[in-house]
Amino acid sequence: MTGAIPEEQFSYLDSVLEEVCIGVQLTQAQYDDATQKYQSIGGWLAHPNSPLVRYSPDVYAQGSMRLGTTIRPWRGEEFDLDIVCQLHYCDDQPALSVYNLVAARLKEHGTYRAILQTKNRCLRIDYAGNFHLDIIPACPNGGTAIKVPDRELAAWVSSNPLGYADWFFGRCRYERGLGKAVEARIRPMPSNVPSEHKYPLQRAVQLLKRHRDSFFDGNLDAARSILLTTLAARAYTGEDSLTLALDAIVSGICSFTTKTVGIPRVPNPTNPDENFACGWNAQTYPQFVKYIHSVRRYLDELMRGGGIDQMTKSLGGFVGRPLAERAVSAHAHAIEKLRGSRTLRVEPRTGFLTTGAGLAIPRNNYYGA
Amino acid sequence: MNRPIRTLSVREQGAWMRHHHPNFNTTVTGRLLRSVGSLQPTPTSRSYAVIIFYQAGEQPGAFVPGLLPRTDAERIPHTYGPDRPCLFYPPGREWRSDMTIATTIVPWLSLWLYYYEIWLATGSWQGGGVDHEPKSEKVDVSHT
Repeated sequence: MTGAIPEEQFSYLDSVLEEVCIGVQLTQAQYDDATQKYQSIGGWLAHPNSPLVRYSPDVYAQGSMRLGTTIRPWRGEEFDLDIVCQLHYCDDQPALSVYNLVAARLKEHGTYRAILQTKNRCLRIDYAGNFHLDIIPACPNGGTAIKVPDRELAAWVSSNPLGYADWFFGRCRYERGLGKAVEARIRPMPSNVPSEHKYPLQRAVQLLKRHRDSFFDGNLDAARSILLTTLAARAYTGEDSLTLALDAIVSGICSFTTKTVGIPRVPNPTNPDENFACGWNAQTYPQFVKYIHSVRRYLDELMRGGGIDQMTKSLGGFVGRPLAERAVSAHAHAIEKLRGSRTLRVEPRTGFLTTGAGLAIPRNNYYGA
Repeated sequence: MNRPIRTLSVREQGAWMRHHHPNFNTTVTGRLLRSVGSLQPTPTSRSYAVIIFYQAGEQPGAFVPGLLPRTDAERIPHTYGPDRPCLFYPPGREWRSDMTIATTIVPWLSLWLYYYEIWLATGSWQGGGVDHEPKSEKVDVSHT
């Protein structure tokens, strides 16, 4: 039995899932460290003495850092930050020479030279500890699109990280009922937005990624983040509640897998020729289906309620027990603060703790052993 | 230092209970008040049947039948018995007979039930309080 009106039925669960997201995102120290390294590299590439200056390099983050969906690396895995070094006036250059231009500039730096690795489409700066920066050289390709050198193909391949972010944030702002995105404007530079200020879609993606990491536990067949992010953003229908957002997303993805015959494609919304699900095959796709049903099962348990202790147990299965207990404790700590500042109330009809209308809680000390 | 207070009659306490908590079944018989209802501290929580009792000249209290400890060996923190939460610290005069039970005991109980579920979930009592043992009787200053 619950006396909750539909909008508040998951208010507690929303707050706890929010605390989980705060628990899985990069710590401030990790974020500051990554930002500092990213800015140093940007400064080096765009320095007035850099040979790249004549190409007006524009350095920006792409991927989960730009989308605000980063989570901490799973177990021993490395945290990586993808940055684009977009040059201009380079359209007529061969792909490899643009790659080599950027590589040469990085090699001019004593520190970077020592830890530089050349990859197929990027240049990796591999820092001590569990962090690397992937620098993707690029040239403009019309609008927000870019082209990126592929060394194996010795040719350009197209990409559109800014267009993708634009699409993603458009989906984040999707308004229920209106059936359309209210406003689609790109966020300037990524910032370590405190999780509580994130859109429900961003948080839902963080939770899906966290369960992906624990479900696959290092298995390389795990769905890529860009695939999960795209599926989630497609299925999201503008819910304000994180629980209800996740519920709609998981239902949407489950029904997508049920309705599709064979192995589905998941096109890049900014480039329909690119299939984000290219890693799915007869072996990996059924694993993905198992994973999404696992999310469904845990979410059903979480939404069932039955006591904070029962919910914590289910949450432990979903995101790991230490994280679940930390989130529940963090919420209790927040309640304590509200109680201390006399802003916590009790809704008399149900007994719900609230910061809205209700009975004030006079000062008291629980007595007894 | 202690200003004289106007003790509310049991009948007045009953009237305030009915006013603030119409969902509770409140009865006053002579010097005795008994109020039965349910409280659910969060939408995720269980809904607990609770019984509030008060006798003129005594301290009010509450029963919550069916509270369970984490393990058989553990006692639920801040309780007088297996189903009787200790909601306030009597020497601290946190509850006085001029206060309405409806606006003290009931909100304290709902908050207590929240901390009880947190304790079930994490094994730690996060609601502060005062221990029974005289040596460790320290009032949590954050709520005084």
